[in-house]
Amino acid sequence: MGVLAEVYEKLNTCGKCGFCHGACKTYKKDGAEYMVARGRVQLIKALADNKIDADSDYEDVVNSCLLCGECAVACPSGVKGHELVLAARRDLKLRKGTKPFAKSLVLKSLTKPGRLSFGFSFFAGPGKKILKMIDGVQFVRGIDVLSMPAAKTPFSKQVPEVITVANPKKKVAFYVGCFLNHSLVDSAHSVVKVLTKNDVEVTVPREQPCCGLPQYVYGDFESAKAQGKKVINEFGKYDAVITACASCASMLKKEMSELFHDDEDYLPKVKEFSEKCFEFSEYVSKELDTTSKLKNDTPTIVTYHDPCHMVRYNKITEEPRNLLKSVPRNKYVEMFEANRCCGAAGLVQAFYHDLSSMITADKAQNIMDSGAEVIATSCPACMLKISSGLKLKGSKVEVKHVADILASSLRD
Amino acid sequence: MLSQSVITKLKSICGEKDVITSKIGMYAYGYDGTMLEGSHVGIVFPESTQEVVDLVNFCREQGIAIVPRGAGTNVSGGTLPSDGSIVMNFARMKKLLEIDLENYVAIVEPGVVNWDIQETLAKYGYYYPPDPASWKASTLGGNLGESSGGPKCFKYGVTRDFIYGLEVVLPTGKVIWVGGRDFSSEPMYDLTRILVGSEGTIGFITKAAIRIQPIPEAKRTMLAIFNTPEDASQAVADIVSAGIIPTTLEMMDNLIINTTEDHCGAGNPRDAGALLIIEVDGHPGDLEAQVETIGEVAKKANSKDFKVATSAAEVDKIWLARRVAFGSVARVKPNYGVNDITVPRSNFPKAIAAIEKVKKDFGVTIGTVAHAGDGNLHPLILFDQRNKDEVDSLHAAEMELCRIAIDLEGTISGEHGIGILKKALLPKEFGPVGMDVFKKVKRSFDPQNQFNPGKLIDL
Amino acid sequence: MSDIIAKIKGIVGDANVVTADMPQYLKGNEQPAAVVFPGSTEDVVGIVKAAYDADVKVNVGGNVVETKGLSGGIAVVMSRMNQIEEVDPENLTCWVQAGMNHQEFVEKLSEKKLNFPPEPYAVSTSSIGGCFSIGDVDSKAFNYLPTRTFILAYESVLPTGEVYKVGTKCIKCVSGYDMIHFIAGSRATFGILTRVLVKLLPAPQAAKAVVADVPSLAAAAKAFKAIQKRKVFPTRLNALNKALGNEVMETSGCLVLVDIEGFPVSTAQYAKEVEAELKIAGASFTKVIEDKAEYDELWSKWLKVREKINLEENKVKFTVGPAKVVNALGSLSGIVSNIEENPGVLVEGLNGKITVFTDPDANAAAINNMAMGLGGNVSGLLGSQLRCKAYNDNEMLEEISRVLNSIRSEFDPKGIMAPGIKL
Ligand SMILES: Cc1cc2nc3c(=O)[nH]c(=O)nc-3n(C[C@H](O)[C@H](O)[C@H](O)COP(=O)(O)OP(=O)(O)OC[C@H]3O[C@@H](n4cnc5c(N)ncnc54)[C@H](O)[C@@H]3O)c2cc1C
Ligand SMILES: Cc1cc2nc3c(=O)[nH]c(=O)nc-3n(C[C@H](O)[C@H](O)[C@H](O)COP(=O)(O)OP(=O)(O)OC[C@H]3O[C@@H](n4cnc5c(N)ncnc54)[C@H](O)[C@@H]3O)c2cc1C
Repeated sequence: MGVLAEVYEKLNTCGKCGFCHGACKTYKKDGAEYMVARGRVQLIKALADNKIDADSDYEDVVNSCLLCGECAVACPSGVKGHELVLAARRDLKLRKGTKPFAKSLVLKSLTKPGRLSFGFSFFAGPGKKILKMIDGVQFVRGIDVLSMPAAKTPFSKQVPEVITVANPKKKVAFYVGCFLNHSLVDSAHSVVKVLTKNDVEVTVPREQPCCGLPQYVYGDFESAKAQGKKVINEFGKYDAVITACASCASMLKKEMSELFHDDEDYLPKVKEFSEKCFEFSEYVSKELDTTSKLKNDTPTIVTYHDPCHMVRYNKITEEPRNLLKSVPRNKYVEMFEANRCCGAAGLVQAFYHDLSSMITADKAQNIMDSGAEVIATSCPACMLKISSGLKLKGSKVEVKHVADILASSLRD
Repeated sequence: MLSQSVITKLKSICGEKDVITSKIGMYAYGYDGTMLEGSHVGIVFPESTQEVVDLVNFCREQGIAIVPRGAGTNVSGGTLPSDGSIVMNFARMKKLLEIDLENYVAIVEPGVVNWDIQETLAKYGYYYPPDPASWKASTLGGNLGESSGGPKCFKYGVTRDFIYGLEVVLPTGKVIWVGGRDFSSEPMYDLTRILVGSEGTIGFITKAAIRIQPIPEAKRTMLAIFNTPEDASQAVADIVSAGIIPTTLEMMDNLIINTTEDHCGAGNPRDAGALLIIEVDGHPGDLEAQVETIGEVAKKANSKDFKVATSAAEVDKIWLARRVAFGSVARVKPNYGVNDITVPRSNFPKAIAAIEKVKKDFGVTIGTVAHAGDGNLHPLILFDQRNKDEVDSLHAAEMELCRIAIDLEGTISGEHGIGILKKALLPKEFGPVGMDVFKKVKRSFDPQNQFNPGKLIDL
Repeated sequence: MSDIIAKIKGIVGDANVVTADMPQYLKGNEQPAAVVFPGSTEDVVGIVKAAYDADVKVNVGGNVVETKGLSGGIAVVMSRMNQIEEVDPENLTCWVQAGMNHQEFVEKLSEKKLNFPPEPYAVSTSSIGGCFSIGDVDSKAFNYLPTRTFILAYESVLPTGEVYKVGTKCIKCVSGYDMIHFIAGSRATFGILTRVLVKLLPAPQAAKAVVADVPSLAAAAKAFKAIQKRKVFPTRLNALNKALGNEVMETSGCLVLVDIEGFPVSTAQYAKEVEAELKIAGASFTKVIEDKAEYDELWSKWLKVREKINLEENKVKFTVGPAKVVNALGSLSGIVSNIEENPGVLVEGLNGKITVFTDPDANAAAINNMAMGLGGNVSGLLGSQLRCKAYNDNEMLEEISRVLNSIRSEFDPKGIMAPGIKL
């Protein structure tokens, strides 16, 4: 049974009522029973009971989960489907040794010349650097992101290590995260602008190790822990750590403790660190008074997309909305299913491209139906995914980070 | 195992990705909401009526039985695959083909999820009244298969009452339309009605014309707390006697009140014997008087407390406990068996007393939620599926509950259907003549027993 | 033949078997051997068994039996089985014998403040057994749902002579095939209903009627649409053209009859809104009727008109979506010429149902094509045939017919029941 023994009790709690069907985007799009928490949980249990093998179909079942956490919200019995899938990924990693996905990925890509050539051309660019940090699975991560901007120089090299302000009221460290550092650099600048305009001194440490989430969610706990320790070594010394990537924020604030739960010696350090980590909008709302400084002449209709890591993992939903609403002349509209996954979901967008695109298409449609001119969110992965979804539909709606909107309303 | 040539043919009918024969596929379609398991040889996902026709014809030639399936949330074993059968999953045939608000009709494919219809209709201020608790998951095809009911059906009726017409593929592979787009299109036998609730044993539904209607202008939600379930059922009877048909009359007993408190702290008193959630809807001007009457009735029935929600948040709060009721019992035992026995309203207190006796006689823990207005009880029997003794007592207790329902002039199934689980009890409810009549029906449609064989009745 | 009659006399008593002077109990041109009046389920069992054994045809009626195909057979008249056996106000149900007169039934229930909404055409002569055996849809069905939804259980005698009981007092029951509702519309082909458990509703707390003299059916239909747009759904929302309307009251145009049952506040409000819309439609006269006696009188007149409509042989009934009635009336004029001057046109607004006096042989096909263009069709078996024809879908028609007949012969292997009914 291996590591599945640890969650066996939870696997057993699933009453097979099927309430997760409505909550699961992969099921909604695919329709097969094993593409929903009930099916996944039953199959994981079947594997634990040695009734089935961990064949490639099984791997697909476990790896196609978005980990969006919506099934857990819907489950009347309190089964947390995404956590069980995580355990199953861990189990797979241990069963199959290293990098099971890279293998299947390479095989899949070889059959699709279009993808492959794109992958290479992308890989040749600066994207390489992002991807290198992700163990084993790298080079397809961005495949879907046709127009993914790639910075020649990472953000962290574009700014001084310490960005000083005249009268610093607070000091923070900025954990940039791979995507903002290498791709959506403008949003990283927006973050700094919002903070500095509010008299916050921002340190951008030269070393920006990956938070470990990508490794963690694919069951490579060893690499994830190594990353976690690197992050804490670099950032542990600051009073407050800000990140503007929902996924990184979730890792730093929450999941790191779960990752290190079996390391009694190190765990307190992790917890202490997590306490000091803030998601951007959370920090701005809690610690700063930026709203009084906002100016804006162009009336704009704005909506907000909740990244999974914000709404379900960290329950941060009101802060970004309130910030958006506080911009003068902005009209805030709520879109249908604002809190449902956009389809990016880490590597799902790469490995299960068709599935992921269908989910993104829903998101794009909901955005368009809302009448918004700008869709704001708090996660660069969502931003890239949503952009491509909107582009495919020929929409002109702009995708921005909450920080971008605030920054452009703060006059120089 | 299907031969390669059969698989190839199936794929030529409905497409490569719509035929599944993988090991995990076999496992994942082997179960449903029950604890039983079946063993089939393949899964197909038709996406059009023509594909269904071709599949039915091909399987008939090959002598392969077909088990239709929606979301597989039924709790009677209705979608458990029979040996050597093919599961026909309608989950990918899910278009909302037409919404005609002015004429109160929508045409839908069977795989569309009840909730998705509701969400689309709500945009226009309309709804489709049948609302099984499983509505976020269950498909229209499945709702039709079981003629599902829901909390609202006391006032509005169950699935069968909202179906104008159906497109059906028969075991002959022929397609027929029964009924139409309104209530008066049935020539002679009302085939629509015999198909609704037939659990996929006589025809596969490929389209349905459903009745939709405007959402009532206003609604009031009330919560009444009682010392005993008897008091609560007295209140139910008196509300109806006062000439009021609420949309909803949901009851929860003491055990469920406590498990839901453990689960989400809804704020209900743990010492209450029962609570009732009461909802009335209609013209705003009419509701005040109805709420007042219901308040008086509750008082007369010794209610400890009676609350009327004054905001959406309060409505949510009242519903909170009911929503988590089923799952909340997982804290007591990992598994629960749902029953759906139904008795005449006047026998409701007797049914409650009989459930108490079953608890003692079989040494089982039971929590009861009920659609009290229509006498439909859901005694949840708690157990651990890994403990064989508990599973045995569960089965024995469930059989006893069904016997009680029949003795109290009720039925063994108010909304979940017979499937495999309750098949053995059917003769007790219907007697030899009644069973023979069922066989007549099955034989006239499916003499080869090819559609969902072994469900509902054996030929 | 005399054997079986003697046998039946032995079962029901000589007095309850009529062999001479039968016409008052019969309709149609053929001559059965006897008219029999059973007094109990056992009587019915005896009659059907005797007929089954002797391979003799049987048909049944409330008061009068259709004789088509019944030459030398047995006509069973249910009028002696006319008792209410149990009214159960707590469960809102009532056990009633099949021969119970509809009007009497409704009156007895209303004394107990209970409501049984289904309304067959000939309320004064219909039986409850007949009501469910035909199981049609009336103008009230939009709000109360069709007739079949009011049957919860029944006892019948199958064509093979067995007593069959199905159903409970529960409005929810999904145990086995739904034979409970399937009986509705089966017209004695599944045997003879002896007792029925009907579903009741509490009597409405308030009722009002609105009558109006509106210039044309088209104007009335427009008003009906506007009324529905306001989300007002009266119990009955009907219009009669001049010829029929004048049977109720004198009008210069068409007569609109609106029935509003419900609770005090809403009925008053709805009556106002309905009256306003009818005025907008150009009504030269409107009245809201609140007085109970006047209200009852109005609807009993309406029922008489319906009876008259039903007795008319040359008529076509069809439905279109309720929102399409205006269009349908426009097109209808092209088929049957001036509908205002027609000897009879009835519009049931909420059901989108139109009845027009015209020769079906001449016009039903054209009317059906028009109705189909508006998402509807001619009602009943005729409609189904026309529909299949219009789709050029003989295969479907054959398959439906095959299914209907295979069900029928499962129930009635010797084919003795209701010989006049063709499926
Ligand atoms: C927690 C929980 C709560 C529930 N609450 C309710 C409730 O409140 N009310 C209620 O009535 N039920 C309830 N149910 C039972 C169940 O959800 C319903 O019976 C539902 O309608 C089944 O829908 P499904 O799509 O899952 O159908 P399935 O389970 O897949 O199928 C149900 C039946 O329909 C047949 N079928 C499916 N599709 C077709 C088709 N296209 N043509 C012909 N036959 C077909 C199947 O063969 C099967 O016999 C509940 C179940 C659970 C687990
Ligand atoms: C010629 C004619 C046509 C009609 N057409 C319609 C119509 O299209 N729609 C409509 O709503 N009303 C119609 N009616 C009105 C009809 O009177 C009502 O439906 C009424 O409720 C029937 O009751 P009854 O007792 O008069 O039935 P009958 O006229 O005696 O019988 C009607 C049908 O029901 C069957 N039946 C009667 N009693 C039983 C029983 N106990 N068990 C089994 N079967 C039984 C008969 O065999 C017959 O097929 C029609 C009436 C007549 C005379």
